[in-house]
Amino acid sequence: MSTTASALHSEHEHHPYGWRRWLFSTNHKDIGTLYLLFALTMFFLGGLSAMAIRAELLYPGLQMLDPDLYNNILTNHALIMIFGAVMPAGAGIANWMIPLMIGAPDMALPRLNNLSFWILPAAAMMLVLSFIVPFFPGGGTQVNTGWTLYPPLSVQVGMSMDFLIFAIHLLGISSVLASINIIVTILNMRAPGMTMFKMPIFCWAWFVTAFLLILVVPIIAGGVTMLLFDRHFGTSFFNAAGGGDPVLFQHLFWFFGHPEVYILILPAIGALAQVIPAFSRKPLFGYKSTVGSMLVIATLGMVVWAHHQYTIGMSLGTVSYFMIGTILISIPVGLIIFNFIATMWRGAMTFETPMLFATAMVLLFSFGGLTGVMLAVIPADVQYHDSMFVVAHFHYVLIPGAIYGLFAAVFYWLPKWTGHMYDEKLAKIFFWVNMISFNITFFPQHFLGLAGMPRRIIDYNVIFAEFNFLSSVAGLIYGFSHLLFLYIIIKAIRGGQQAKNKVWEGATGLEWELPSPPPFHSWETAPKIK
Amino acid sequence: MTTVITPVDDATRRRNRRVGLLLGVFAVAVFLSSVPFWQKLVQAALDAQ
Repeated sequence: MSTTASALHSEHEHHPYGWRRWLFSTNHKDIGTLYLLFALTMFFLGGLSAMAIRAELLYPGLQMLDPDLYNNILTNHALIMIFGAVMPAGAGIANWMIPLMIGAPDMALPRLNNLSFWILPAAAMMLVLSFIVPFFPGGGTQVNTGWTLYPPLSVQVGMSMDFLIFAIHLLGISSVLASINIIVTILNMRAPGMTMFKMPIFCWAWFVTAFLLILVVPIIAGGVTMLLFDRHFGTSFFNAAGGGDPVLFQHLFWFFGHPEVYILILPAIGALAQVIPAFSRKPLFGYKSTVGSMLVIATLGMVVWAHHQYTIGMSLGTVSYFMIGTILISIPVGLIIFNFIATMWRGAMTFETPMLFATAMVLLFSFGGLTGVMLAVIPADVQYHDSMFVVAHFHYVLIPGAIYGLFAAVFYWLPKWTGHMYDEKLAKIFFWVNMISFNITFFPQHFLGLAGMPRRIIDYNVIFAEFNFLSSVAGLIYGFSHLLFLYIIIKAIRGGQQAKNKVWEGATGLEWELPSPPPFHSWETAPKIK
Repeated sequence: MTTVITPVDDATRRRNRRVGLLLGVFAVAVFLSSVPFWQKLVQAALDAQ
């Protein structure tokens, strides 16, 4: 350690208190906590909008919203959940765990880490403003484009679209900065002896995800910048009358949008690769093939974006390429699922809450993947396109694939973070209520879509009434079930049984060598890895 | 000063900044590559000649 570092050491025995601790924080655990609290807040905001959507769809006809407001809520629901909840939650867990898992004292660029987080509240404010601005005099029309923001509609809507564009810029900057930090931390800050192939899969998953983010987030930033120019500076990037092409935006959007799915899912897969071996009491089956599969998913995921655009009129050769590429992704995804099942095989399995969520993710995400293969097939997709089948598909991918993975991670590491065990009984009740109501909410939507109910439309034909009623009632139960999650978290933060250093019998990894909760500064002396 | 940075040696700190900067430049390059605006700007300049 250098002289500078040694001289600074006495300063590290204490940490700042009060609001300064959080506002000026450069500590990975504090920033991780901030990310997680932010994500939880946005998760409830996004959940509220989802419940408004399901309440509106409880019966045919208009209940409480008008079509524009419905689409505004729908747009905000997607953007809040993706950019505000799931991505920051993943970043929060990464901040907390990566330095602990690789034996690093902190993230590589701690001040940048602070900046990455504190951009988020400003972005969230922009996002929320995009929702409420139209309600004020002169606020213009509502954002009714859906999260895809396709022109020409997105060029025509009022100033709320500008708030949305700036929100996406800020969220993108925050994500890219956080990704840079994660990559540098993993490359430069590993403890001696912690080679890349000794590193926990969770860190690998974030390493791959961070590269994906750097490669695709600037593309959507470019896309919305051009949108801004078309709206205000007389350019015609997406205006056919001026020589532009609205389809260009779709390509730019989905070049980001499809890898975004893997950005949301890979960290959850990484968390599962920690949870499943711990509760199966066996090492992960196929470490290298899991890492290889994640790399293949990321690579293939970047070159198949136009499967979201089959109906725009591409040539047969082009759509065939995108179809084959998309179906190929099921191979590495299937390999990871196989590795998880092989890890469970003949393991001494127990089903504490993290393992329940992990098992649910393996089963339900596979189901979502299956309907993904259906959607990848061109002639089938032309039928399913823009129907509720697509809504059912991506909720089966993202709720089990991302959110259940995050729940598994939160329950797995919560005792490490808080120093207290959570209420296992309540957590199991939460899992069962959540999982059952999720399935009743989204499973019928497959049939609604196959029967012809379009998505993003406030009203529907009476023939769809029963399934929508069922979906809405279950959806409201699903939404309210998260209050129990909140209660469990608050209860664990406030107290409970003291957690041991190694909380779970079968858990392995450096994080379990530290006390629960870990000291403010951990791994000031790098651990030795055999 | 209220920020407390966990110590790392100077060589690691320098290496962190170098790799971080490199990745930052890469991200900006990706952003610029996605904006045909620049292409149109050059085209407009050429047309004007």
